[in-house]
Amino acid sequence: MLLSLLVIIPFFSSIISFLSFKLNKYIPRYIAIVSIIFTIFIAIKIWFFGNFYIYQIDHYPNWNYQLILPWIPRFGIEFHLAIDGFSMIMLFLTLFLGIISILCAWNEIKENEGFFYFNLMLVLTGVIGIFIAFDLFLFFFFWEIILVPMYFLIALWGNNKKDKTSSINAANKFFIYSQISGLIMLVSILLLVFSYYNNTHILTFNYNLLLFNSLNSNIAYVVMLGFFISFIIKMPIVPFHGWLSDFHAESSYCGAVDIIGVLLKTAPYALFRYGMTLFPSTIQALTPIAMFLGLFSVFYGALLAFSQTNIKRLIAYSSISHMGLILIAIYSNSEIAFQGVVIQIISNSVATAALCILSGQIYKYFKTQNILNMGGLWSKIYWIPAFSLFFSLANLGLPGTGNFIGEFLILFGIFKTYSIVSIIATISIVFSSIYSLYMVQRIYYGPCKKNYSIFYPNIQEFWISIILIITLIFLGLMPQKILNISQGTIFSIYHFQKKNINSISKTRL
Amino acid sequence: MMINLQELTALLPLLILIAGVVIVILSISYNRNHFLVAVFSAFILIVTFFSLYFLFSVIPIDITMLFHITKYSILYISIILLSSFATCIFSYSWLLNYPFNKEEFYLMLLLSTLGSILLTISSHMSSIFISIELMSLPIFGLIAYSNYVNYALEASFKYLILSAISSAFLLLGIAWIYAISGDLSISSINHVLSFVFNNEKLVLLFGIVMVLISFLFKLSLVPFHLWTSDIYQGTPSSILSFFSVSGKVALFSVLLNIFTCNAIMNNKILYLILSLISIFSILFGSLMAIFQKNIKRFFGYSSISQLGYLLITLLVLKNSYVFSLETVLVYLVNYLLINISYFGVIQLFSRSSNDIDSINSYKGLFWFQPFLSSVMTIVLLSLAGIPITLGFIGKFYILSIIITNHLWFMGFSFLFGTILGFYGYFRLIINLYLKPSDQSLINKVTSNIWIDMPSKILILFSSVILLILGLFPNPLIYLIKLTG
Repeated sequence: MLLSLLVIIPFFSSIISFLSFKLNKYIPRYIAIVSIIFTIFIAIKIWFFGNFYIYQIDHYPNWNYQLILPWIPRFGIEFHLAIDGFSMIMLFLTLFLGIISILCAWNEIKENEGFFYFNLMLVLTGVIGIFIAFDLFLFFFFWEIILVPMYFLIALWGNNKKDKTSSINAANKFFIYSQISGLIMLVSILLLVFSYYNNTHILTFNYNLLLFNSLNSNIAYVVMLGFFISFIIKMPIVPFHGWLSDFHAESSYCGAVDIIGVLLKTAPYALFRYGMTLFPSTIQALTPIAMFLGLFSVFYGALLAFSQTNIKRLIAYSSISHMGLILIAIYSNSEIAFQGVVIQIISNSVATAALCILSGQIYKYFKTQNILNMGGLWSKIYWIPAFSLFFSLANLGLPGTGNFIGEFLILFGIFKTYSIVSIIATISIVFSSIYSLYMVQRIYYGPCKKNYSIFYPNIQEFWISIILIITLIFLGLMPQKILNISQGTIFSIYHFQKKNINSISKTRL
Repeated sequence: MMINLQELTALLPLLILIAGVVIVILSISYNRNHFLVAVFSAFILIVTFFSLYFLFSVIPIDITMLFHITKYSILYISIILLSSFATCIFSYSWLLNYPFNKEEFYLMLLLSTLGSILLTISSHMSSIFISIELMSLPIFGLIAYSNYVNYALEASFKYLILSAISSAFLLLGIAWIYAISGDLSISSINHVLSFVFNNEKLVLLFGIVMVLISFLFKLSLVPFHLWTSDIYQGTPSSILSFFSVSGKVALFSVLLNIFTCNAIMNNKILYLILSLISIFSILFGSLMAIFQKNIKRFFGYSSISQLGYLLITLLVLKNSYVFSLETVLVYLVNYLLINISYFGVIQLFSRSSNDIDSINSYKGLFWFQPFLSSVMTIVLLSLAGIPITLGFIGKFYILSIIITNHLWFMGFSFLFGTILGFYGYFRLIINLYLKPSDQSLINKVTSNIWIDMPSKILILFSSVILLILGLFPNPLIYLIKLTG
């Protein structure tokens, strides 16, 4: 029951904040933040007051909590929520960034607050649902449900207040890309389920059962490819990255925090949880492709980030580049790299979210996103340039921040299994430092292009940045705290997959 | 010809409806009272709906050789009755401003409903022909009822002429079939088709294709769809919800009846024709919907693609009979609810002579009519098939049909069609939330609360059901299983 509250509270708060808008326009935001805090309490209760496994368990799946209710018995669909260490981390990340994005929107959103918080909370509901759903239909359900409110967030509260067409176009682009991803995933899920039905005569969408499928290898390959494509569209990895930069440039930074921070991280999570475990025997066939695509997008993203003149596009391409690294790590078949992915997901979300917020601040004061029109802002604004410098450095993996730990673990882990790939991927750090420093240099140093008076950032935004900095440094200094939580899951996923690969290679011999 | 008690019980809904028609005629000739006739026809439709309960004890049953009632036909009949009931409710407020005689409207509505119900249960070519005529002749009148409105007469004439041509095709086809089989019941066609010689088979198939052409015309599927958008544009919105649902539901159920015959199902050429028609309807309907500026034309095109999706079920009737019938019903219930809410909302704004149907005038509806535009949003989401609406469940059913039967080409057209559709539907949805333009509806909504109340309740009800069944489709599935 506690688990279902994680979804129910944000969902109902979204509806209440929509309805309460008529009473007073300040109510929705209080409802939003109170409900998130409640959700956090519940998450904490689940975490601390359950016997949470932090030691290693070598059989997968192993849920700490489960909730199974029948939903659509006709298709064997259940309302199946479960949670383990990895989900827990993602859950806390979601809630943390959820609070940040509400605080960002606190004074920023001045029109139609009710509808804004309705959409925001609905997105959070969907994301939380994705992280704790373990029925494939339910997972798909949440996966799709976030698109509609996200569409509204981009289209209606876009950057450009006057002309909505460009933000609507960006929203359409996002929506169509995501729908293609969603439909491909639905087809693969159905294919998996019905093939399982043919073999066993059990019609089920239950993850635990489908985990031990014995599909015909051709079908398994097709299904796995379907999952892979649908997730890398959402990640986004290079041939399918078209939506991200437009989307990023057009959305207001309150929405962008959500996207970059949380929405993009659902894809690596899903790739981990579903892509890796459902078809452990065929995953090897895809590894070269995934490695190539990952490496390609690491360099492609970095190069394009370098050539952007719009800050937000630059951040978008840099996150494409980081996503490439995560993709490589996921397919590297190395436990250390898996651990690195967890840290990298968190710290990259935090760092990019912070950069988004800062660029949003700059946009608020100077009304431009064009880097070429800026310059010399260091002397014009208090605090923001220093924060930007810190987060850019964190983004490129400065030791002492979580990104460093993540990248280090990833590259170190890959080196054991695919050393060449690891060496090539290491070069990308040079690229990322080039574009990060380029950005900081062009915006904050040098001569000032125009005469601005000196700005003081909002006290609220100051504290948000401080919190994000503390988080990053905490991750950088004590990553073991996080690793401990996720270790059980990562270890068991790794061994689950390993066991299958071994058993297959044995049968071949 | 003897009719026994069981058959009379099975005919009970029809008898009630006929009695209702007669009473309406008499009351019109005695004393015209719009309110009374409207309430009475709504009442008759409700009574007919509830009298369906008595059918459960006698089905499946053959009534003479013309009609055959199964458990599924009860659901089709109730869908038709509900859409007809909704039209009664919507038309009342619309007809209040109508300058001429109002009561005949309900007469024609009841007659057309009767025709559609007869069509769903007919199992004989002659009864099919007569019921199609009974169904569509009053509709010409209904479309032309608002002859002072732009495009209404044009639409009525267009539909009249094209419909006459399609009836001619139907008759021709029946004649060809009769030439070989010597009998017109559907089961005999199946019987004859399975053992005639090749050249005779060709003649019979030609006849069947002719019949099929006429049906596809009425269902407005792709090569025969050209009339759809014009007629949707010309028809008043209150009638559209009936026109769009009842005829299509009835015809589709007949198509299902015909295609349950083994011999027809196993025919390769018919299979190919149907799958091509389905693919093109899906793609063409969703593609053309994107470019529309008129909200009713938009729905016309989107209904082409919706029926295209539905046609997929015909292709797999052989392999998974029960499952495809279930799909059809889920889909049709979704279609009914969508129609009621969609045209109900349009109708609420159309107090004046012309419907307000340009998409641009619905711009920014949300900011001054949040209730109606939320309904509209739900409907459009359901049309697009986004989760938490019943449309998604329908889409899920169709996708699982495609996958269990390995119809890969169909799967691709499904993907493309759905994505094109998304673009179209979301163009409309976002339109509702933008800043209102100058020519929008802000000042035009001056409504009488009491007259609109029933319509509003109905709209709210159907859109809430769309949501509830989208979240918990179990009751609907259970109902279908119960009857099926």
